[in-house]
Amino acid sequence: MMNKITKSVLLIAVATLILGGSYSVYKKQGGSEEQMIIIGAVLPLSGDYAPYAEGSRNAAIMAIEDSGMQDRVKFIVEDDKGCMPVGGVSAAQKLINIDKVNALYGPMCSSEALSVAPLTEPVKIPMVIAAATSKTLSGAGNYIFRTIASDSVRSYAVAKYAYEKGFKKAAFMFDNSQDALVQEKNDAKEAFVSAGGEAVLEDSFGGKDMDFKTQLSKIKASGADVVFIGASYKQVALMVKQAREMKISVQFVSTDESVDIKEFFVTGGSYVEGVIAPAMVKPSTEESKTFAARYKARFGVDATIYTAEGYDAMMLLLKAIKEEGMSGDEIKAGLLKVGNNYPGASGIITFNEKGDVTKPAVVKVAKNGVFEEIK
Amino acid sequence: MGILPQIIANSIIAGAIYALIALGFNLIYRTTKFFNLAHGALTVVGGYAMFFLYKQLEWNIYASALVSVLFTGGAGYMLDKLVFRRLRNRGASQMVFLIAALGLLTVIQAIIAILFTSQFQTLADSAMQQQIYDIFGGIITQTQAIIAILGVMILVGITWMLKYTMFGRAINAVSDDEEVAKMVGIHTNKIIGWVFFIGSAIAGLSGILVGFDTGLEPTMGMSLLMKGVIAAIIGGIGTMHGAFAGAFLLGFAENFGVWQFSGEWKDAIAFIILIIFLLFRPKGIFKR
Repeated sequence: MMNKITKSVLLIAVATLILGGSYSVYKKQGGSEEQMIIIGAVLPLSGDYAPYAEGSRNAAIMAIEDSGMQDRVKFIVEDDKGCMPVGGVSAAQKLINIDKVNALYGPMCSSEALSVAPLTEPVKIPMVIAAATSKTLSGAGNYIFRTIASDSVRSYAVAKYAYEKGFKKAAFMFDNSQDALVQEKNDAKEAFVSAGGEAVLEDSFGGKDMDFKTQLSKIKASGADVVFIGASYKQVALMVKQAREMKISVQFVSTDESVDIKEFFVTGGSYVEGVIAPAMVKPSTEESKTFAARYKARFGVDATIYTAEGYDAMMLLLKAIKEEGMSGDEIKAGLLKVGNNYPGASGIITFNEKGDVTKPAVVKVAKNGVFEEIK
Repeated sequence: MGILPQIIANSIIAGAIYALIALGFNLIYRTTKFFNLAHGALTVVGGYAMFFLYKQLEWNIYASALVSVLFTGGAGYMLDKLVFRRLRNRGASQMVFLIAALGLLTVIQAIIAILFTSQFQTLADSAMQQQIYDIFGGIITQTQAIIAILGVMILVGITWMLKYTMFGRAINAVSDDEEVAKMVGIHTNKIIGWVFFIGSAIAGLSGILVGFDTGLEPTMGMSLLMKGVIAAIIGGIGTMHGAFAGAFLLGFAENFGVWQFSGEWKDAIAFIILIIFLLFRPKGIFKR
């Protein structure tokens, strides 16, 4: 039989062991005075949208490094396999429930972001988005922030430009599986018709389609002189190529998804010369002047579309956490505070109450394998 | 001249691509009696073998095509030798074959995505514009003309082989009854191995042609296969001319559907036709 003293000594020893053990585990997990910030990214690392994902991931990594907070940040990237809602939702579920993220970076596509919002909103996990441009996202939640302006501005700009260039009859072709593309088509159509143009044909296709010859035959028969295409760079390039092979000489207008993507020219070759597309106006902030060079020095490749927006999104998120704290409401308050006339790599960023920004648009034309701004 | 000649040309091109897939698929099906879903992956193997030799190693186009087709045939032969033959010897059920084939499809597509990334690739030389032919107002490209011609040549070749050669008659014997064929001294495994080689080589050829006409991606096998299988079923599964007729019926129905309604109906139309055939003419246009 143990006496009382021996029992107490043993109890204290066991308690010390348990406490000590759990403290060392806590230390190992990175727990310290300052808690780790866990940020989850939902990006299309595979599939048609993969060229956009690499730049976006790099931009986030660069922002984390530049913020000087890399020791405090755990950045977890999940592949949504093609920018589609199903992949996005399962990636977000994993990040929210298993990794217990404080905020999400992405998703990149609007349909996907719209499907992820119902998961993040109840648990107050902010989403900072750099590429999803559908205007429906504006009303989708209280914790959604975008460093990219919604499509309307760009769709209006390019439609107006096309009309002023003398094109009067437009056909609208779009991938009906992506919400942003459907919205862009609606916006471009509204702008073109209200400027005085005529919408002579509207047709759609699936996200996986690669044969557009019959739709193009309809375009030829419709007498359209300009065709607005809402699709991924791959489908735009294939459609223009097939049209030129069929001796259809209408003007093609892409969305900004083809701009600054070299694969667009690899797929479409010389056929895509002359395609016009809207883009964000070139920013004039100090940050924007050095961003492209710093990005290239860090990763060895050129920055693509959405990378500057991605860099700003991550940088603002980290600044917001630093300012206010890590809970959903604190991050939101922080983003509204730091995202006010913020001179970012993608231009001046001021979030409105819906978490949106406004940036002016320009029109670009494909010329000698790059998109050049039309003055 | 209106839009009709072009729609007919588009239908013929689509039909010819489906026919190439359906012919290879059907040849394997009539001999082995199982749905070889891995056939879709072999189109991807052919396309990417060509991409590797022609675009990356910059071989001559004909040598690249020949080696790619033979390589795909060899890959199909190995799939049979390593997986399906063992299942046959074990007397596995149809379901086991189907699952194994689905597994192979997934594995092969994943390996190709790892080797070549899931980036969209095109085999055509983007700097060079191809020859265009205007046939009664319908415009087709050189690649598309080759697809249509090869479709007909392969149909004729296989039909001739099955009817007039010893090898063809042995295939027919195996497809009628494998056990009886064995009893009369036919080396059935060898025959089936060759059938896999030929069927897969045709799949490889289709992959190459699709790669030139539109482009390649590792996951394109499944959607190509679906259309090939629908074509084979509505044409009469197991018959070569049936697969051919089914493919063109499908090509015409899809393109006329897109013309009359809208592009989003394309896949729905293919499956509606399949369901109609399954309900009212389950043996297809030509019964075997």
